[in-house]
Amino acid sequence: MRPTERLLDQLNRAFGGEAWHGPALRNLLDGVTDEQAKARPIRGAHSILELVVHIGTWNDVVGRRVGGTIVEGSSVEDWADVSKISWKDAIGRLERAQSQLADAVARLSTDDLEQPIVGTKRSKFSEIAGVLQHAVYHSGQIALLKKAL
Amino acid sequence: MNVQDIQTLYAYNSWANRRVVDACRPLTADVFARNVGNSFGSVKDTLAHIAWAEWLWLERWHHRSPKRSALPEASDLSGIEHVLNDVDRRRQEFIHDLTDDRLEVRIGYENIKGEHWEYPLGHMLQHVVNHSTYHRGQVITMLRQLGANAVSTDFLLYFDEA
Repeated sequence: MRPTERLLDQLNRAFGGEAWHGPALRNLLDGVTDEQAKARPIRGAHSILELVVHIGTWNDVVGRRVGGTIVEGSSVEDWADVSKISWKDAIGRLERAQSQLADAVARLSTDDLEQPIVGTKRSKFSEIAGVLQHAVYHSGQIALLKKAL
Repeated sequence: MNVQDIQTLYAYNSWANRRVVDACRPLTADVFARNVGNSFGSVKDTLAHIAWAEWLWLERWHHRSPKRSALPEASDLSGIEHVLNDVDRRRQEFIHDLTDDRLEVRIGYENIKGEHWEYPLGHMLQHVVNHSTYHRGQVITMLRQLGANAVSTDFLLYFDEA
C-alpha cells in the first residue's frame, strides 16, 4: 500500500469505515436527532452539533491547504456559532469537507507528502495526520456525549 | 508514510499522553477513580485502558500474543504513568530500529479470544495512535465533567511546542 493510500485508508476508516479505535465518526452520528445534537448532557462540554461543525471546519481547511490554497489559521472560525446551523446542514458540511479532503489526499504522490504546506513548515503528511487525529479525538467525545444523552 | 512519519506520530502520542497525565495530577484519588458513567467509567479506567492497549500492541509487534494483562494493577495515577513511560521507552527502541520496508511487513498475532489476525506493521502502528487519541478525547471531556482543568492535545499545538 502506497503511503498516500494508507493515509486515505485511515481517513476513510475513521470517517465511515471499519475503524479499529472505536466507532467511525459517521457511524456515531447515525440516528442522532436534531434535538440530541443540540443537547449539552455533559457540563462544560460542547454539544455534538458544535463538535461536528468544528470537525467539518478543519477537514475543509486541511483539504484546501493540501490542495495548495493558503488558509491562515487566524481566519478560521474554530468554534462556530451553531445557533443558525441545522443538524442536517452540519452533516452535509461535514460530508462535503470529508469528501474534498479525501479527494485532495488521493491526488498526492508519495513525494508530495513530505513537501510543506504552502506558507508553513509543516509537511503535508503532518497536516493530514493532524486532522485525522483531530477527528478521532472528537469522535471519542461524541461517543461519550451519546452515552450521556 | 515512512519511518520518520511514524516517529513523528509517536512523538506526538507521547507528548499528548504526558499532557493528559499532568492534567490528572491535581485530582484526588476519589475523583480520579469516580465513575462518571462513560465507556470506561472513570478517568482512571480510561487512562489505564490507553496504557493497556499500548502495551498489548507493542507485545504483538514483538511476536507475542498475551491473552491477559501482565501489567501491575493500575491502582493510581503513578502506576499508570509508570506503564505508559515503560511502554514509551521500549516502543522508541522498536521504532528506532524500523525501516520503511518493514512497515509493509505483515505481522500475525492472536487476539485475546485466540483468533488469528495479520496486518501490515505500518497499519497497526497508526491504529494504536488513533486508539489512544480517541480515548484521550474522552479523558479530557471527563476532566471537564469533573470540574477539573482540561488541556489541549492538538497535533498542531504539538508542532508549535516541539
